Amino acid sequence: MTETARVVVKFFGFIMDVVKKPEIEVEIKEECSVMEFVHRLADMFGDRFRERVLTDCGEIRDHVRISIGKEMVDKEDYEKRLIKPGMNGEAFKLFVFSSQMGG
Amino acid sequence: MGQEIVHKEEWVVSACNLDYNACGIRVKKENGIVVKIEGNPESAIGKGRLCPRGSAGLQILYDPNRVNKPLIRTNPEKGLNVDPKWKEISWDEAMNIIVEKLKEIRETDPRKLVMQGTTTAANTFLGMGMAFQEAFGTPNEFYGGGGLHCGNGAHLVNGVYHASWSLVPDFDYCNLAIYFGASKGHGAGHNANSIMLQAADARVRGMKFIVVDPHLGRAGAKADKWVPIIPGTDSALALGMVNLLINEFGVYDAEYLKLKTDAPYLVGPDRRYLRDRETGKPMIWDPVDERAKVYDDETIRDYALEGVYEVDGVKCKPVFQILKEHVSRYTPERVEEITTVPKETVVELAREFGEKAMIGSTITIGGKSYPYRPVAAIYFRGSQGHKNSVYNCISVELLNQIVGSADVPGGALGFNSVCFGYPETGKPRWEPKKGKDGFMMTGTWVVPHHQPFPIPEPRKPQKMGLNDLFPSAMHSFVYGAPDQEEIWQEFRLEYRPSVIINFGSNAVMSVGDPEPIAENLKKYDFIISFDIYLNEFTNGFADLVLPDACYLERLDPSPNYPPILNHPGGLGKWTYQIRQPVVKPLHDRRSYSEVLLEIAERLGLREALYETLNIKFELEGKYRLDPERKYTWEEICDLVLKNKFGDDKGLEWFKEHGALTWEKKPDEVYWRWRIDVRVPLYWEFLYDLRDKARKIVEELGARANIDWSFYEPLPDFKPCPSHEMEDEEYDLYGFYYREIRHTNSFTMQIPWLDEVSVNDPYTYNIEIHPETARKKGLRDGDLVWVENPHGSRVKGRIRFTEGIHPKALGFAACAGHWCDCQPIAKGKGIFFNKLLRVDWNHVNPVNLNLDLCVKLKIYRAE
Ligand code: SF4
Repeated sequence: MTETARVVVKFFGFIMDVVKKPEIEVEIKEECSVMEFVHRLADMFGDRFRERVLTDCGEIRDHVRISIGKEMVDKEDYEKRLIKPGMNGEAFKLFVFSSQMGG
Repeated sequence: MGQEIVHKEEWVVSACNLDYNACGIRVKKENGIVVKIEGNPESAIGKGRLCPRGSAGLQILYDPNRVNKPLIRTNPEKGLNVDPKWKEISWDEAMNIIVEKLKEIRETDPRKLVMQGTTTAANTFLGMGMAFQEAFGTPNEFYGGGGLHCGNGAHLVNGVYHASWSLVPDFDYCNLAIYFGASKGHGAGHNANSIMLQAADARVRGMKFIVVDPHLGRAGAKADKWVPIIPGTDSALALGMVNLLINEFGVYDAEYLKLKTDAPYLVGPDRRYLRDRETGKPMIWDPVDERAKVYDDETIRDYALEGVYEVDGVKCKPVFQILKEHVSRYTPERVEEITTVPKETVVELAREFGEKAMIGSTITIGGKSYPYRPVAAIYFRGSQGHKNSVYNCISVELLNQIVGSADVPGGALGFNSVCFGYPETGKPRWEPKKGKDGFMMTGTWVVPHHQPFPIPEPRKPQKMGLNDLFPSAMHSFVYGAPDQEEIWQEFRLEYRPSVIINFGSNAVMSVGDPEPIAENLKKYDFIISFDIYLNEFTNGFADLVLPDACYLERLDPSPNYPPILNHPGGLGKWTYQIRQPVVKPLHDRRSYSEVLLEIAERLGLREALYETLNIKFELEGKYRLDPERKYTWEEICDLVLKNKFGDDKGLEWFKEHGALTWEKKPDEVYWRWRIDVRVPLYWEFLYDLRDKARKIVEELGARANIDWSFYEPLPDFKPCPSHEMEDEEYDLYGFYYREIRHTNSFTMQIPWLDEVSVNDPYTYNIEIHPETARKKGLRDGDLVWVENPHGSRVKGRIRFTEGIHPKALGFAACAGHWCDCQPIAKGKGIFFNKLLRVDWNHVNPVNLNLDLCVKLKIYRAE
């Protein structure tokens, strides 16, 4: 796959103050994992996004949830699950939860 | 002939909500009027019983003092005693105002919104309230005093050790339960009614029950022995008992410690675990092969618990060895000095706990053999509500861990750490799993997207309470701090909160000294409050009051979910139930969840809210909310229920039947040995938290006076400011206790509850030991002032009781309303919280829990 395609990314929760808009489109040339894609978003939005979404070691933080279209991506699948150009029209949805409720 | 009178009688099944327990209820209506509330015997939650509040609930429904229409403040002045000059407006007008205010901050900075709730109605707030918060994009929530006083420590420690919100003894098999500032099974706390029955049966069966508490309350009254203790010194007593168990009596469950805890993990001279260079995993010492191995090496033949070893030239010791040395300082003599518990009693408590643990014994339940450890050490608000919150809880918990009584028959049970789900659908389902270093992560939590362990990494504060810098804190003192603005400046909070949506919290009364809280609240641009009654918070500070539906007028799809919060533990049954409107909301009252749903729609947040609800309620497949269409609250509730229990068990089914009940399996209750997880005796991870948090504090240049010594891996007794007070004039420890007739400050307007309260010599008065009073020349019934060292004072009558520590004064509940809008509650009882300081010096530096004991002087007021 060489052709550039766009992925719709939607943001929810405690990230709106960083990304400012609820929805963007990101160009990708090749398939990449969910993890790589989130790192790419972190590169786009900078340190505040990185702090909010990633741990110091670059893992996706526990209070972040990701879905592709209607399907939630399991934490264990962040490295395996692929983001493909177009994604059959499905949006990549990133939720940042803030409320921690203890511990 | 007159018209024939038609008598229509009807029973509706629902759930109470006069505290967070949500006991199952049956409500009788005659000709549409609610006339009686009973417990629902079909529900495991309450088991057909009601507490006095539950029975009196119908008086809330028809109270003429309820808020019945939206009210707008016309007096721009705000303050503790200011008349708001309310003006009634229509819902349309109210909604227009709300949408305009929220739109503005959503577009500029959503963090400016604070969602404020109350633990009283947590199960409603946790549904739509929290989903709205997440959808809006604000990190700020606050739970009033209920949260800040009660749970930052116990819930954290229970989460780490039991994968649960709180603890109960296994009433079916326990033979000795020692309560440290807890009241589980005596009308207060989690699952109050169900476990009251369980506790009573256990006592009849012969379970011995010891209460360690400065106050002989309802728990002490039912106990075999009451051990009075200086408030906040529980850790010293518990560590003294641990010392005796492991250093004097040699009583510990070695197998449990080796396989289920970090007791064998080696610790180096840097006080960190010794880690394998390649994998980073903690190491243990195998005494058979005489070498160190990673803790989960399959070739391990045994684990050393004691001794000193050398690994690659580094001297190290197992955690258990370090613990033995650490607790040896807590001799019975030293414990007596700190706690006033006689040294003989300390020895007796430890000996009995060790003997009754029956280490090595097993029991067969349901054809399966389990370790049998019929002792439990239970802790809650009394021990955790101090500056030493975290260590107090860990110290008591160590007793369970040392004898291996965690989540086995007879022991201390987390409720409900494991659920296999409703048999026909397998939902809901969770159980703890293994995380970093082999340590247990909870299977579920009060919010499903979060686990209390591993504790998230500290971050530069984005939350107004700094909870992200102190991530084990779920509630924070900053809301009520007199130097709030300085704290925000020092920690470089980038914004200032400007709008509150409050749901039933009277934060002016429930947190602490109300003066600084009042000054802080005056700075908000707009405060919206959903309330059933006007109160000190709304009258003083709200701009707009919305007439909320009470629990008899409201629909909630999951009042007891997740069941780690308020479903009874131990064997028995699971119940899933709903709360449904027994009558349509009277007057112009509307339900909180429905109003928030409409606000979200009008703010253009439908997709964000629905997607958040999908995650929160774990909606899957055809039960997911589709943002392309609009749902009513009833339709959402229907999907929530069908998603869990199948198409035939939607809202209509639950409306008719009220509760779905099925049997618990022993493996759900006694899961500890079935699941391959360990728990930490040595909280090494506190060092990482400390280092990261301290680095951020230093980078920010904040001058906050944080005592980092609270981040050591093993617990210690650390004094509260009250223990360090040197001025002899302030010679008594003041504390408040939960009066089971009341839920915080919320229920004092209910006439029946008021009637029993005024007839009780203690509920609205101050408890003092007669000897103490006589030495001060005070008589039973005298009107006195009690004053803290900062000059705050409250007035009340003293009543003598020998059921209080001679060095303490006891105050019931959160009383002393001064607002005209609650005429029955007004002027009754003592406003103890006024005496509490809400500042850095009075919070635990790990979890920001407020210290609730205060040194007082007492003098006659007449
Ligand atoms: S314990 Fe709580 S939920 Fe149960 S009846 Fe009493 S007030 Fe209602």
